[in-house]
Amino acid sequence: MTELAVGTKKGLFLLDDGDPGGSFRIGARAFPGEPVDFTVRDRRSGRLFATVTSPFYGPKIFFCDGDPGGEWTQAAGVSLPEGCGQALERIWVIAPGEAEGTLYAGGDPGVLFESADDGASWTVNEGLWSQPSRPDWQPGGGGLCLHSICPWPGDPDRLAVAISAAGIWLSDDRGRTWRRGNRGLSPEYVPEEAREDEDTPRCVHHVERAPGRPERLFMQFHGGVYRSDDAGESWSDVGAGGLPSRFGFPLAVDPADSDSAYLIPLVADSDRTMPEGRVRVWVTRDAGVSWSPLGDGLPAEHAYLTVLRQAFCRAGAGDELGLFFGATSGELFGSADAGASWRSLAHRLPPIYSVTAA
Amino acid sequence: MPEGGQWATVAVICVRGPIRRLAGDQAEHALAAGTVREGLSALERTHPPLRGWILDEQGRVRRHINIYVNGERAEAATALAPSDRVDVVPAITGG
Repeated sequence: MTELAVGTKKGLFLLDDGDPGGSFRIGARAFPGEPVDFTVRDRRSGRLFATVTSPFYGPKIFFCDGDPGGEWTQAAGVSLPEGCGQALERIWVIAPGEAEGTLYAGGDPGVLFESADDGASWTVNEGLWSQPSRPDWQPGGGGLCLHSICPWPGDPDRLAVAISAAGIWLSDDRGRTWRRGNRGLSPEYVPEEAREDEDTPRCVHHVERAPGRPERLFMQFHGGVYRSDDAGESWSDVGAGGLPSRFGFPLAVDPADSDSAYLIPLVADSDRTMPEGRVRVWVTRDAGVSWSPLGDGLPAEHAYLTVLRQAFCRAGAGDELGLFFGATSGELFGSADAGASWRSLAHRLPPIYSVTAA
Repeated sequence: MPEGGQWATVAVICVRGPIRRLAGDQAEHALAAGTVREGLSALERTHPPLRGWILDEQGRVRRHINIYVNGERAEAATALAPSDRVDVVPAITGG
């Protein structure tokens, strides 16, 4: 059975397909009316998480160990240090770490939280929070959001995170110290003379690590798609081979094949809709040398959908890789065969912010 | 808290919705405080689950929460007199 946890503008929805290949149905809804920015189930503990940003009461992390339609518990410690003068704006993502009971959460303003008790309580990662360059960090269009967290399979010391627009940050000591990993990224949105400047904003949109080859990462940049084969130290532009645009957010990598990655490009920053009004996922099977569209079963005309950064996910691997994405139109799509064919799973959800699978 | 003891002023803080639930499912709270901020801080101390819901981590009233004292818009620094009624109201949105 595949469970999809869907965060929307009006609550959290849990769907499952009962048996593999079966129809997905909505099994539970939580936080009705509230914006659920991200939701994910930690497979280790079975605990379900939701990040909720009430327009009135600020961002919170909640978790649930039982019936998602019942009681949720608010996690402790999800706030910025007192006296810093800033307030937490939003939690963008939660990712299980490699150490037992460890999770990470990324938020705005460029903050990383860590938990050592299965997400019941959290603390600010001081190493990243106290970076000397922080006063110069500039926000992207969605805020100064820490949106991508990439643990290293089997090694809890190594971690990569991405912040829009403060770029890539790498740690080899479990988050105690951090260094930049932006070499090779070309911010085409600034004058050419400023592109090498370390402090020039790097508007990284999404980063995913290849689980089967951890030193490899793929990145959707504000302009272009990049790949790193040295654990994020340096990057090469791999977006030239057939993609319809250099702009987008959603990204997934096949755990069984480190050469296979999936993107959902959008036209441009000025028009965040599907190119040509056709809903398509683009795949590379050769680590980014070439890209080709997958759209069998997806709307092929007059479909100007927007898929947000966290609204694309995978389950399984290889030929049976499941791929799932939701649009701000409230439509949810899925594939059970690595994108070869697609079907609509839900039609009229609220605007979809995130999709994760368990 | 003032030097040497309790605030003389006892105001009634009225909450609703999820705030009420987090405040022990009680709508009205009589608290000693000299200002709105002190009253809200006292309410947080009495009901720790409220921490971060009305005031942010820097002690500021959240942007979309309105405070009224005896029916008039107020701010965190507004002084309280004995028996003042403080309403904590989510801002009207939309429309």
